[in-house]
This record gives sequence, structure tokens and C-alpha cells, in this order.
Amino acid sequence: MVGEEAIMDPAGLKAIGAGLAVGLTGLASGIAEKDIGAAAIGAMAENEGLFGKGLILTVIPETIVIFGLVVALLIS
Amino acid sequence: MRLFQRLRNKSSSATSSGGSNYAYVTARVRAMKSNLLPKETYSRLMNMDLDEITRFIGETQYKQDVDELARKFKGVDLIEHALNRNLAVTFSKLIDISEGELNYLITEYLKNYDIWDIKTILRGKYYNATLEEIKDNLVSAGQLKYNFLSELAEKESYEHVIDTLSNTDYYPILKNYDGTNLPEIENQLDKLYYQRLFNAIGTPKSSDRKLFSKLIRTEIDIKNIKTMFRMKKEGVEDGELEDLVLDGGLRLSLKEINSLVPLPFADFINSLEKYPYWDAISDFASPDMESLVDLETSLTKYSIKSAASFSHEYPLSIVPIMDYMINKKNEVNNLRIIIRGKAVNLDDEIIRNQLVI
Amino acid sequence: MLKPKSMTRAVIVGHKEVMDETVDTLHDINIFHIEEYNEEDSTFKIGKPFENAGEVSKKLVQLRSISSFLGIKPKEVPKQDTNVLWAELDEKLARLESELDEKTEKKNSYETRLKELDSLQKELEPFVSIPIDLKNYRGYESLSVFAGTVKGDISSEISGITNDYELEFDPNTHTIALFVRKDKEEIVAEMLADYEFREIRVPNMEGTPSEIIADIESERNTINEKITSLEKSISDIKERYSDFILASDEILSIESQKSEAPLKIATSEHTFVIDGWVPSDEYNRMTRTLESSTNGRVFVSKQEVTEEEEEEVPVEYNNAGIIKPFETIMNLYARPKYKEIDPTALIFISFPLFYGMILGDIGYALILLGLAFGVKKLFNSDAIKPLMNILIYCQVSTLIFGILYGEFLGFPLASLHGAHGIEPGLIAGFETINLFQSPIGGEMITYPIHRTHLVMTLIVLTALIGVAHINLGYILGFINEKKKHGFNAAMLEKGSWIVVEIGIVLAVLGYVGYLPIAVGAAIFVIGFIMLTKGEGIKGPIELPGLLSNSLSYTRLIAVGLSSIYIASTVNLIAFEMIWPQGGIAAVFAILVFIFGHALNTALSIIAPGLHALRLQYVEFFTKFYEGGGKKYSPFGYIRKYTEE
Repeated sequence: MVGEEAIMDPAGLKAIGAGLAVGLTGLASGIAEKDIGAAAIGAMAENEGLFGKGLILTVIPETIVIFGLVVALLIS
Repeated sequence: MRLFQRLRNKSSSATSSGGSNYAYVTARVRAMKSNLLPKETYSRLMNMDLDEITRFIGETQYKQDVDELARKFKGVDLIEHALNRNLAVTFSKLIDISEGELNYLITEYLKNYDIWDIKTILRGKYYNATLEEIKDNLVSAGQLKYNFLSELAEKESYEHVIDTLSNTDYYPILKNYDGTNLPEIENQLDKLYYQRLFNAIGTPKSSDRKLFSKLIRTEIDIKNIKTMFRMKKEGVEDGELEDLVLDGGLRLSLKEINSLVPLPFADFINSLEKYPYWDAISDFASPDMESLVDLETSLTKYSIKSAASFSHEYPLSIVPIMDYMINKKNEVNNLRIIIRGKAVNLDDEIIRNQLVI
Repeated sequence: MLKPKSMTRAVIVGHKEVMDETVDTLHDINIFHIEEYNEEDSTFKIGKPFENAGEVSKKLVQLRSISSFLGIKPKEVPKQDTNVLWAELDEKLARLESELDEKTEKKNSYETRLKELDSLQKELEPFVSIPIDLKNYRGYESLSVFAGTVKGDISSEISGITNDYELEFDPNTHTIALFVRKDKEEIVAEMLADYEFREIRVPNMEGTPSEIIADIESERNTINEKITSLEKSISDIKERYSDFILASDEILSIESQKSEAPLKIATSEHTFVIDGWVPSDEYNRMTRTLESSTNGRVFVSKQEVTEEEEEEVPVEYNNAGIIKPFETIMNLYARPKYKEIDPTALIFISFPLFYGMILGDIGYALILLGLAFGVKKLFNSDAIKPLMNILIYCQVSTLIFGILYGEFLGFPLASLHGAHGIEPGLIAGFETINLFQSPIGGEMITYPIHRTHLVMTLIVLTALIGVAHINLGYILGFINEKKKHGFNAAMLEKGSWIVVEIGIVLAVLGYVGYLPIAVGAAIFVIGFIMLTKGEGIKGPIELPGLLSNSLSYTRLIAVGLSSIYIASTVNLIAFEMIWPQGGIAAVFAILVFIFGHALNTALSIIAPGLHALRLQYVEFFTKFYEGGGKKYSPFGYIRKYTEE
């Protein structure tokens, strides 16, 4: 009984790790992109020519999720 | 339970004071600022006639205003209305796109247009200006809407105007207007405006609020200096001083102003030397100066410059937005100086000197 | 390719008498980019517009306001002859305006009348169920009339005061109409005050309220009909005049451009000087045309371009037609500077390549290919066309990678040899062929390439693609920098990165044991010092970016994989978790399946574009690209609605 409770399935732990990797990085980049995105949209509303710059600035923090995703892929 | 209470308090205070979308508004305002006319434009505008200027601004940010008003107005009236409408629409847009505390501050700041409009209408009635002349000067960028203002302007006398305003905050001041004490009433309206604006700012704790308050107080200083020069030039009696200047300036307190004004003109100018505004004044102020135009232009330039330098200090605050509003207002003013000058065939040189570029 | 069009600075000088012809000629040939004159001095001033400028502007303002009022949109129309147009312009414009004025004035007066009727009806509403003729409310000497609202029933109170009264009461609106003798007026008024009586003004009209309201209704209907017919005739006017408005806006705009050209030109008392840029290969043609049109009275000369002026040179792309669509992607970021490498041709290769690698699906490629061709045909617009062309290029690449990956709408075409045995693919009998073992993670390379089975290999591969792409960026940066600041600066700022990389690679080789680790470390340190010298403190700070930038290219595999996983998750939820419940759950399972895949399809269309774009902009461009060149916009006009 005790043994069963104490030891978790390694596959489950992996899955949790992968989930955390994607979930937390997603959360982090979301927080980072919040204000940048708002600012980019604001600038674009007045000057459409700023689309390119706005897009770049907005997606810069998004690399974190890709790292999370890669880590998750490597774990699972 | 107490924890729950505290959480609730926290969240409710967050919605009332926070929740501002500074990132969005300041970025948008920055883009709007890049749409302002570059300074090279003015020398070209100087070579155009009224119709060309109308067409030219109709190809810029003023397109919608010119297009829509051109079927109703012609010539100078058309440009004046287009400029005013554009200013009103632009500033109202700032109110519309901002949220929370930022929205509150912008709204309070823009109430100076309500006061400007009320003053314009009362002045118009006082000098028996035509309805067109009054309407040419109305800018509905504050809380009072254009239709309401134009109805106000159509009233036969100042009494009717004031009656119609009876449920506004300005009524307690306006009801004392007896048809003669216009400067006093105007000053009281200004005082009320600044008092409420300072209330809105509160005791500034954060640095950007401090900067905002500094900016407003610089504005007051500059207004007071202009008023003092006008008084000295026109030899106004000292007794009316209190009714003409504003309290709350950054460098010049009411007390200092009181001690400055009675001085002879030359001494008055010399004693301004110790203030930071001296750089803007020194080239133009002399005991035998003839016109105040250069001095006032230079002071306006000073306030535009100080707003610009403040706005770099706190990019995510109300200051860059103020900076934009000041510049936009200046653009409209410049255009108005040009078209009014052209309409009465003023010499190019005279018009050029009045432009704040 | 890789370089913007070569420009020559030309200065045109002539006597003011021929300024008109010169401007005309320049406008016609439409190749000369005028550099606006700004510095006024005592001899040279900004020119005054030609005489007709005011007149033309006035008409333009008038025309444009009508055009915006009618809501006229650009469209394809047969081109009109300018001579005919000029001849009839004034008269037709005046007629258009007066026709329109007449209609709008009428419409406005009807609308005012409607408002009056509305407010009248509002005034009458309280009295609507009191059947007293409105004229009977007034004109009495011995009677007092109270009309207004009260709270509660007053009939008993009033009969307590007097018998001589007439009372009408509407219990719904609480309106009363009370007639009493004049001598009772005060006492009745006091009584009414207790019932919170509020007087309502009785409209000064004749007839009972209900009758009048009926009249108002019918008048309103007639007016509404009239307004509708006016609106129809206004839209008729729009139909009839829209060709005229589009064409005359064009000729007037051209005329106003010409007449205001002097505002860009320096003029002295007798001469004028036009400064500007012309594509080098057009210089001779321009000189010849100008000389012949002015009988040799203008003098054109080439000017040397100084280093500061290089910033001012207007930039025109110089790319082959097939590459041109990708200039849109460049413009979204920033136009290259004149002396800079124009990377459009490189994006032409790498953008579709990355897009295809991410999406890599035969099904999606075919759907999007059809979509792109359809949109291109449907909207014949200059703004949409290049975007659709880019989409088409990307789909070709997606198709190729789709065949390589053997994927169709997210499902494998070939059979899959997984840990849980063999799963058949969409094509029966299409067996996956084992090719060779990958050096990384011991994974088996197969055809078709199953991305889910080659995660490790592909992650390493894409990171290596990243390293290659980034280094291409540094090499381009080196070339740009060498052109601008010489070899030494280029070596320190851009070359140092490559030295650092070599150092890292050698150090890794040393770690594995091929050569002493100190060699790699030494080269790394040399690179590091060069970098710090070249870029200052910024360099070392950005050093870790080398790693994160290359890893960023793993999105080429990761994004594609995530969409495969989403698809299989949807299938799992729908068919293995919900479907077995049976009954109503089956319907639910199908809904989940459809909705899930629709979402995934939408994502897999948008995501590859954004990610491929980002790799260009963020990882690639930051290594070498500055941008911010001025657009080459020659003085002239491309006619759409008129011809000479």
C-alpha cells in the first residue's frame, strides 16, 4: 500500500514535466506580450506602415514558448 | 474572512486607480505625433493661397473634416471649422481610447476647452460678435458637445447663455456675471479649472504624476508671465492683479508675482532673470519693446519644448500624451495664424513671426 | 539583385520663362524624384505656385467633398479623353453641385419637418385620450383651465370645492384637463398643489389631440416616402456622375501637382534650380527630353554624391519580376537604404522554404493554393496580388515538403511503425521505407519522413539551419559594414561573431578529445575581445543570443509537430474518450472532431506564415539589416481614368 502511494509512474512525471514546460512558458510569454501587443496595435491603428515593426516586437518574447515546446518534446 | 475582505479591497482599488492602458495609448499617440505636419511644411504653406491650403490640409489628417464641411462652408470659414472639428475629434478620440485613471486625467485636462468655449461665447456676446465669428472659434474637445455649444452661441444674450448652463459646475461662477466683469469671471473659471485638475492629480506620489503636475504648473507660470507683460505694457492698475493671475505656478508663487508687478518695467524685466524662463524671454524683453508677439511666441515655444523633454523621461505616462496634445494644438494654431493672416492680406513676414515652429 | 537601382543626382537649372515647360516635361516622363528645397537664403526662395493653382485647388476641394458625400469608390472604368473632360469640367461640376444641393436641401428641410413633428407629437401625447378640441383650452374670460399631471384621483376633492366644474382625467398618463370658474381659481390651484400638479403647455392648435396625432402620422409617412425617393435620386446622381468625378479628380490632381511643383523648387529672381534623383540608366533620356522640350534652354548636370548625401538617396528596388512580390515583406519591415544589400532575393528562397518546412502537408497546400488563385482572380487589386503570389510560392514549397513528410490534412499517407505496432496510413499498402540510422538519438530516417518519430534529429537539424541562416546574416552584415566603415570595423563588429563561433566549435571538438581544448578557448577569447571592441558592452550582453537565436529555428519542427499533436489529441478525445459512451455522446464526439480540426486548420494556415516571417525579421535581419531608406517617388502620376 505504502509503496504504491510513494512511487509515481515515471511516464506520469514526464508528462507533468512536459506540461509544466509548455504551460509556464506560455504563461510567461503571454504576460510579456500583453503590453507590447497593446502598444503595437495602438501604433498600427494610426499608421499601418508600422505593421512589420509591431509584429516583430510583439513576437519576440514568444521564443520562450518554443523553448518550452522543445523541452516538452525532448522529455516525452 | 478578513483575508477575503482584504483581497476584495485590493481588487476594487485596482479597478478605480489602475486599469489604465498606458502602453496602448502612448504608442498610439506616438504614431499620431508622427502624423503631425513637419516644420518644413509651413514655409510652403506660406506660398499658397487659401484654396490651396484648404486642398493641402484636405490631403492630410484633416481630410475627413474638409470633405464633410466643404459642402457647408467656403473659404476661411471652411478651414476654421475643419481645424476646430479636427482638434475636437482628435482629442475626444484620446478620451475614447483611454481607460481608468488615464481617462480621468485626460478628461479633466481637456475641460479647459469647455472653459475656452464658454469664455468665447460670453466674449462674443460682450463685443457683439456675429454668430459666425463665435462659431468659428468653438472647439468641442471637452465635455460640452458641438451642437450644445452652437445652440448656446445662438442665444440672444449672455443671460440666456448662463441660464442654459445652470446645471453645469460653472454656474456658481457664471451667475455672478453682470455684463461688465468679464475678465474677473474668466479668471475665476480658469482658477476653478486648475483647482479641479490639481484635485484630480492629487498629491502626486509617483514620478510620472509629479511630472504631470510639474508640466501643468509650468503652463501656469507661462500664462502668468504673459499676463504680467500684458499688464505692464498696457499699464493696468495693480488692484486687479488678483483677478488676472493664477495661483499654483511652479516657480512664480502668487507672492512673488505680487512683488514683481509693482516694479518699474525695466526692474521688472531684470528681476525675471533668476527664473528658468529667462532664456526664452531675454532676447525679446527690453524696456522699450514694442510688441509682445515675439515674446509670447518664444514662451509658447518654451512650453512645447519642456513638454517634449518631460515626455522622454516617462514614456509610459500621461506626459507624452500631454506633449502630443500641446503639439497638435500648436499645429492648429499655426495653421489658423496663416489662414487668418492670408485672409486679411497680412505681410508674409508678420505672419511668419507669429508662427510657433 | 541584392542591390537597389543605381541613382544619379541631377540638378536642372534654367530661366524662369521655361519653368512651366520643364515641370510639364518632368511630370510626363515620371522618372525624376524631386528633392524638396528647404533652406531659404537671400537669393534663393521656395517658388510660388503657378497662377492656376488656387483655381484648381478650389475645384478639387469641391469635387472631393461631393465625392466623399456620395461615397464614390475607385473602380475600373473606360479611360476618358482629357480634352473633352477639360472642356466640360466647369459646367458639369456646377450642374452636379446644384443638382445635389437642391436634393440635399429638400431632404434637409424634410428632415427638419420630421423633427418638428416628433416634438409636436411628444407635446400632444399627454392629452391623447382626452377628447377635447385643443382650441377649447383657451380664450375664456370667466373660466380657468388647468392642464397637467397630478398624483392620484382628484374628482372627490374638486366636487368638495365646487359643483361648477368640468374634469377630464386620463388614468394612464395622470393627465387632467380641469375647467373651473375664475373665482375658484386660487383655491383649486392650492388643492392641486397638494396633488403635485405640474402644468403642461397645451399646444396652440385646433382639433382633438388624437385627430392631430393621426394627421401627424400620415404626414410623417408622406415625408418618409419623399425622403426615400430623394435618396434614390441622389444615388442616381452618383451613378450618372461617378465616372466623371473619378476622371476629373484625376486631371485636377495632376494639374494641381504640376502647378504646385514650384513649392519644391528653389527660385531666384530670374532662374530656377530643381534638385533631385533619376535612375542612372534613365539620365540620358531625361536630359535629351528636357533639352528638346525647352529648346536647350535648361541646363542639366550630374552631381557627385557625398557621403552624407547617401542617406538621402531615394531607393527603388531592382529585382526580377518573379522576386518582386517579396518586396511587400521588405516594405512591411523597412525599405533598404541605398548602400545596403537588398535581401529580397534571399527572402524569396528562405521564406517559402521555412513556411513549407513548418506546414509540409499536401492537403493544406492544395486548399491554400486554390484559395490564393481564387482571391487573386476575385480581387484584382494591386495591394492583394503580391500577397497572394507569396502565398502561392509558399504552397509550392508546402507541397514539396508534404510529399517528403507524406502528410495529408494532418494524417500520414504511409503506414506508421510505432511502439504500439503498425498503424496503416491513408493510402493502403503504402509502406514506410527505412533508409538509414540517424547519428542523433538512434532514430531511423525513413521515407516518408514521419516528423513525430524523428523529433531529436529534426530539432538538431533545424537548429543547424538556424546557425547557417544566422551566419549568412553575419556575412551580409560584414559586407554592409565593410562598404560603410571599412574592413576593420566590419571585422570587429560582424566578423568577431564568426570568430566566436569558430572558437566554440573548436572548444567542443576539444571537449570531445580531437584537439587541445585550449585552442578553441583561445580563439573564443580573441573573438570575444574583438566583439567588445567592435560593439562595446552591447556585444558580450548579446552573446547568449547566439544560442537562443539558433534554438529559435527549432520552431520549424516544433510548430509543425504541435499541430500534428493537436490533431491527434482531437481524434483521441472524440473517438476514444467520448464516442464509446454511445447515444447522444456520438453526436458530441462528431462536433468535437469537426470543431477541433477546423480550429487546427485555421491555426496551421496562420502560424507558418507568422513564424517564417518572424525568423526573417527577428533572427535574420537583426544581424545585418538597417532599413529606413527613402522611397523613390518620381514626380508624375500614373493615370487610371484618363488619357491624353
